[in-house]
Parts: sequence; C-alpha cells; structure tokens
Amino acid sequence: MSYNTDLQSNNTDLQSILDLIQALPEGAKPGQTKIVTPSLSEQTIAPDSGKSLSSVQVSAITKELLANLDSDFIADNIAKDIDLFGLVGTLEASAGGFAYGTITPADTTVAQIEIEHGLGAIPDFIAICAANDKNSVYTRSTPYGQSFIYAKYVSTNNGYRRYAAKHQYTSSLKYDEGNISSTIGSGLAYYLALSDTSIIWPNRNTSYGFGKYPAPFLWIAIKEISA
Amino acid sequence: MRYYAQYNENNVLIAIGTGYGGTEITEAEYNTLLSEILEKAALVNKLYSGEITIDDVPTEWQEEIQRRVDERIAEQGTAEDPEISSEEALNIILGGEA
Repeated sequence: MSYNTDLQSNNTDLQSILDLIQALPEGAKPGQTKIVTPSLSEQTIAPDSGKSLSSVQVSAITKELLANLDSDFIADNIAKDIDLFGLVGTLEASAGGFAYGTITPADTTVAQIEIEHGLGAIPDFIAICAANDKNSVYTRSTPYGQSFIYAKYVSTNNGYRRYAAKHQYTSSLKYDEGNISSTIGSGLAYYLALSDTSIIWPNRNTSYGFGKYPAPFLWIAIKEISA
Repeated sequence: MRYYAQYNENNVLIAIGTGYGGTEITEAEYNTLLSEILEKAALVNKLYSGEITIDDVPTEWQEEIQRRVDERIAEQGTAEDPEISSEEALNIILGGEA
C-alpha cells in the first residue's frame, strides 16, 4: 500500500469525522456568550463558527447611550423637569399666548379673587365681563347686564402691577390727566393686580368687585409671545 | 373643558371656574357648586331687601347668609338706602349715557 493511498484514506476518515462533528446538535457545541449594545438598526446575533449561543446579554438603554446614538438627545430639547431615560429636561416653554376661562365667586365677602391665568408672564391685556346678560338673582330695578372693568396702571407693589379700576355700569367714564374718573358718582376705587401667574381682583360686595355679581364672569388674558 | 374649585387656607370654597387654576373637579361637581352659589346669592339679595326673613333660609345656610347680608349692609347701607344718587337714577331712567 502506497503512502498516497494511506493519506487519502486518512483524509477520507478525517472528513467523515468532521462531517459527523458538524452534524452534531447545537448543544453539543461549546457555548458562547455575546454582549450586544442597542443601536439604531436591527441586529442579528449569531454564534461564531463552531460554537453555539448559550446567552446574549443586551446592554441597558441609558442616557449616555442615547446621547451617543442621537446628538439631539440633550436636556435643552426636553421639557423642563421631564425625566427621559434619566436625563431631566431644562426646556422652558416660552411665556406668552392667551388664556381664558370663567370664574364665579362663591362668597361675596371674600376680599379678593385670584384668577390663575398660567401664562408665565404678566398679561399685556385682560378683559373681564359678566357671562350672563341677565343677573336674575338680583332684584334691583337697575339692570347691570354686561359689565366691563376699565383700569389704569398705578404702581408696582410686591411684584404685582396695580391698577385703579372702575366698574362701568352706570357712570360715564372720562380719562383726564392719567386718571379714569366718573362724571357721575364716585371715582377710582379698589385695585386689581396682575402678576405672571394670576389676576387679583377685588371681590368685596361693592359696586367695584366681583362679589356683587356671583354669576359667572368671563375673563381673557393675553401676553405677547416672547421669542 | 376643565372645571375647577378654588379654596382658601381654611378649605373654604372661594370660587369655581373653568379653564386653568384651582383644583380640578368634574362637570357635575361644578354644576352642583354653581347651583348652590347662585341659590345662596339669591337668598342674600332677598334677605337684604327684606323679601324674606332668616327663617326662610335653610338652617345650614343661615349663619353664612346672615353674615353676608350684615357685611353688605355695613358696606352699602340698608336696602332702603340708594346705592346711586337720584341724579344717577334719573339719568338712567331717561336713557342717558351708561
């Protein structure tokens, strides 16, 4: 028997053994653990040649990982105090816009009513009027009907801008040297005040406050939107 | 629409409203409170004008209604005292500028 014949026979035997090994079930192959980091694209995890996957470990999604995957994942792009994957936002909404609602005082003896407008800045304009044309709860013969409050800025006190206000219902109003006054009856009375969170309105049970008119009042506050 | 109720530091109802602010409540709760507010206001007016007596007010509301009427009298005088001058009243009656 020649050496070539022997080698060929050995090769055939070795090939047969290799075929048998490769045909063995997966469990019979040595195990392998792979670690995968999430990415923006789909990933297929396959064992290395001759090995089987015994486990796949997927890394946690962290703010550092997300920041690496997307440069827009920064605190300035997330609303203030909102926590996304451990990154707390710092983006504050621009103050401004408009807000509206209704308010009905429950007790005419409460000194003032605070209307929260939520604009985040002192409104540039407010208007308040009675929601109903007919204040049927009142027996007075004089119909007050819809009413507006005219006001003029007076001063700033403790963070509030104060306005002298006149409740327009029967009196003629005139503007004279910076003062709003009435041609009939009394003049300026009570302050209304504006802050970046609310409108303070005198509510005493007088002609100048909400309290006299417990029916709903409509209000609107407008603030020019800042850049 | 968002409905809310506003309370003071003593948990006494100050106002109700719609929109932003206060403690959010349901529409049904809002309507219930609104009815009560309007009913009390009507009683205050009637008691102030002498149309009713305190005995006509529900017992649980008598203290509040009487207090509110007393405060109104203190600020505006009794119902017999005119809130506007006779000149103002005449102007209104004659259809003068409001």
